[in-house]
Amino acid sequence: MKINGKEMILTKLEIENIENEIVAYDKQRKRIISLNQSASFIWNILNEANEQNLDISSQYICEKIISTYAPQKTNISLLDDVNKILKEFCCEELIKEYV
Amino acid sequence: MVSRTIYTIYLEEDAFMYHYIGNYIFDSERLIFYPKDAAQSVITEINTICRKTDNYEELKSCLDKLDKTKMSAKNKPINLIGICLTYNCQLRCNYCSYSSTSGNQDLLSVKDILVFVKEAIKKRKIYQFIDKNDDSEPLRFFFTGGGEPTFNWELFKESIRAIKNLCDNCSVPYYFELTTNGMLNNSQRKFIIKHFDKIMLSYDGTSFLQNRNRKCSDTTNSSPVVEKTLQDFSQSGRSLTVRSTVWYENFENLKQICDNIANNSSGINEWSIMPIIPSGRALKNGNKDQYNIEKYDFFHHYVNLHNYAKEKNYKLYISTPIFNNTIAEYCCGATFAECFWLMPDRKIINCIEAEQFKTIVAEIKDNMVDFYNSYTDQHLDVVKNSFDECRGCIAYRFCKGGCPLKVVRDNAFDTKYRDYECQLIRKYWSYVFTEILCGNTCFGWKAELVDNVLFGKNSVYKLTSN
Repeated sequence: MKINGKEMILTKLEIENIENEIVAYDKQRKRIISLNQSASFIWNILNEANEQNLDISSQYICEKIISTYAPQKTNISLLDDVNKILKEFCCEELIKEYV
Repeated sequence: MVSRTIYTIYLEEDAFMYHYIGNYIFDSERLIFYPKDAAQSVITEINTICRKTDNYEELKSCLDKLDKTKMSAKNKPINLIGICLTYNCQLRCNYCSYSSTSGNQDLLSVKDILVFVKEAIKKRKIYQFIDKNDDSEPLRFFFTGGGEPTFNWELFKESIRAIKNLCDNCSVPYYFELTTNGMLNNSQRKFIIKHFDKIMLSYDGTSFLQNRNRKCSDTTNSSPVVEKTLQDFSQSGRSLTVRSTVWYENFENLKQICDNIANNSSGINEWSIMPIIPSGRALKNGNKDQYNIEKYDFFHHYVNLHNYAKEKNYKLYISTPIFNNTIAEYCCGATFAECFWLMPDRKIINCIEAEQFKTIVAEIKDNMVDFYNSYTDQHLDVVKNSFDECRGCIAYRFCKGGCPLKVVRDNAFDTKYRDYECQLIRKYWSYVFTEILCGNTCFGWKAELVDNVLFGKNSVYKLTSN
């Protein structure tokens, strides 16, 4: 799966969805990860794309969010927020660049 | 001739852990009984073979590690959620510890409750990841006061439905408990029977006592409605406890109350008797003389009541929170934040009984549960002191000093309740031990012979639950 043109790998997590929020267990690094609603939504998009081996972009994620939460509003920009969350996923090594 | 007190020879070390029960000595550290005239060599054998079971050092070390100014409930699992929807109530009970009326403005919302429940579910999932816990254990919800949980009926109803919905969506099993004053109409009773697994109904035992102690806010009698509720609940098949709070001068009426409860309601699982504690309106309406054990010996009435119920062949389990009938590690669950209570002002506290002496451990803020990084537990000193000071008491293994609020209230209100209750508890355990050493079972306890040739002719018994 490519995100913004880069081949990426998703960390394997045991996931529990609690009312649109994710609590996950990273077995390999023995850590618990709790994601808020926005992060959970994005994680689910990444996960779905990974399963279908789709290539996606930040813009694609923004469109998904808007179509789910605010389909009537087309002029809002979420790009910075989405990129920030993707960066946090990278920092936490939830997604890693394929080398 | 002065008889020799041979006991002093072998009771020098830790002598305060030993108690005389007739011809036996009760060893509190081991929960065993052996003849008081056993030779020192036999006692040494007994002590080697029967190991200490009190885990004193280990438990004390856990307590010592706690700093009362640096407590935190942040990483505690939440297995029991207490929800106090309101401080308001339809009744004006003359002993109400919260002095409830109907004018309090604090009221939880369904949203607040769901925020808390969601947090509990998250923690539950996290602990399941860590401990690989059995996820079939239900999350327990306990609706109680403060005030009357059903006072604002729509809020009560919506809360139950919303919690169940959330738990169902997250595949979390649940168990619902309710304490209610029983001021309900038919459809409300039906709703409760449908949704609650366990119900505690406050009813003072006879129409006369109910109407005298638990009047409606407009001074009308509460007994007609509450007795109808009692009837419906007792026929519902749900686990039902009737809680009767008793003023000291009414200890004499306990047999009459027992007759009334046993004869009128066959579906009651438990009748729990609570003598008045010095708090709220009980403090205002009581007199200090009531803690005179010579005059008002609850233990005496309680034992007589049990014998009476047995004679009458009543199939009613009678209990009281005064006598904790289990072996205890610590006196107070609040010390280790084992239960969380969401209060009407959105604060989360660790003990529902604490009223004005409550300890706040978290609060609902901006749609999140904010667990404090640190809070001060005002009662920890009492818990720690009791853990050591009470070690010499015959009831230590079952009480560990008891609820710290007894000390806190006595200090604040200049009452003498703790001494009174301590005397009752000591009497209770002395009685239990005497009875079981006569070969009887008593309040679920019995003495079981420890069979070992090294004890010779000395009969050594261990305390076991029936």
